[in-house]
Amino acid sequence: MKEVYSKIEIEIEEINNDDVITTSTPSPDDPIAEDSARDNAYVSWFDDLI
Amino acid sequence: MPIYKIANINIKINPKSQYLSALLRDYETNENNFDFTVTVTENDIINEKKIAPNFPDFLYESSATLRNISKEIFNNYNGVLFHSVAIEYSGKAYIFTAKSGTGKTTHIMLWKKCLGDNVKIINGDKPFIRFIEDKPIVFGCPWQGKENLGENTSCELGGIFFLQRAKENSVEPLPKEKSLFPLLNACDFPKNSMGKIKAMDFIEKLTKNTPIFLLKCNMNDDACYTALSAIGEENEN
Amino acid sequence: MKIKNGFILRKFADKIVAVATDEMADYDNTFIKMNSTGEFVWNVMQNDVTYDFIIKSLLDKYDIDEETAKNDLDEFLATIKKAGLLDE
Repeated sequence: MKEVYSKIEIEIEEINNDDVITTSTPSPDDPIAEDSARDNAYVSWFDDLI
Repeated sequence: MPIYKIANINIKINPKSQYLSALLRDYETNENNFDFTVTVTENDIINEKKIAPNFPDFLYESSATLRNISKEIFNNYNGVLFHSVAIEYSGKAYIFTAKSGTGKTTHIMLWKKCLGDNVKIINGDKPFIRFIEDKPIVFGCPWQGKENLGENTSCELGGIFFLQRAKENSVEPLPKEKSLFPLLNACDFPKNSMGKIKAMDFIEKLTKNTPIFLLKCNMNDDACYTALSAIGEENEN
Repeated sequence: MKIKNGFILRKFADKIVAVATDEMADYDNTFIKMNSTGEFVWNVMQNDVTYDFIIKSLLDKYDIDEETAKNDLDEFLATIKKAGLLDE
């Protein structure tokens, strides 16, 4: 007995994930080395939205 | 040499730059045992320079360290580094993924604005996801993106949202097979055949019991509530 | 005509995905996602077969008319060809 047919589907994708590691790299000006900089960065982002 | 606990794995790392030292600080552990060691070699630095030229040297030590950790966790610890924003809400972790520039960070800041302290940002750029006792756990990690959003915490995964910019807010379930390519694009995995198959198997396991949504959204508060409505319905079912 | 050999098939959800083995240098990043019908045609074309043979295989297996089979196969072949995977 013949099978029910569903239209041939094919999708070809080139996966480009080379930048997962390097994405969103801080610039040298970001005060990452300072402990307090973490808190400051977070708060200023939040304030911008209120 | 200090030991750092990342994604619940003890890793011996000897940061040479103050930059990397400060980046890793919140993850340092007092425990003496370690699961593996990361050593950044000259070749690693040369390799990083080829991938992203013209950055200062301390950034190459950082990306080489992350690359080593990601590789080890993928190969041996049932986990993946996942380019996305991860938050914790109501006892579950939610991942938001999209092409760069779509507005993932803007969207979760809406969540913070609307829900305040009920939302915790786990990682604003690339959390780890690992299977622990068959459950997908989302982990913060020292690499938190330019905005430096996140903390040293973890939570079981409750859902994945794919973000698309749109004029009007809407959310709908996404068939699992449609999630494959976008998720592969967001994962760090090696491009040999074993790596590709392992990555697909990981994603299949991840999406098996995790609700997946397509969230079309603008930058209004309603975008947050639209996403929440999908979670609310899931919790009722 | 045939599809280049050297791919491994793996199930994902309700689909099948083909990825290149390590010998296929140009296809490191390529993922090919198919439904079960696509997989059937893919497998038939792992050998060197004629267009008519593929159509006959589809008509033998599925409850379908020739025109639909030809239209759908043409679309499939166009996608394969565009990706450089068709050996004619």
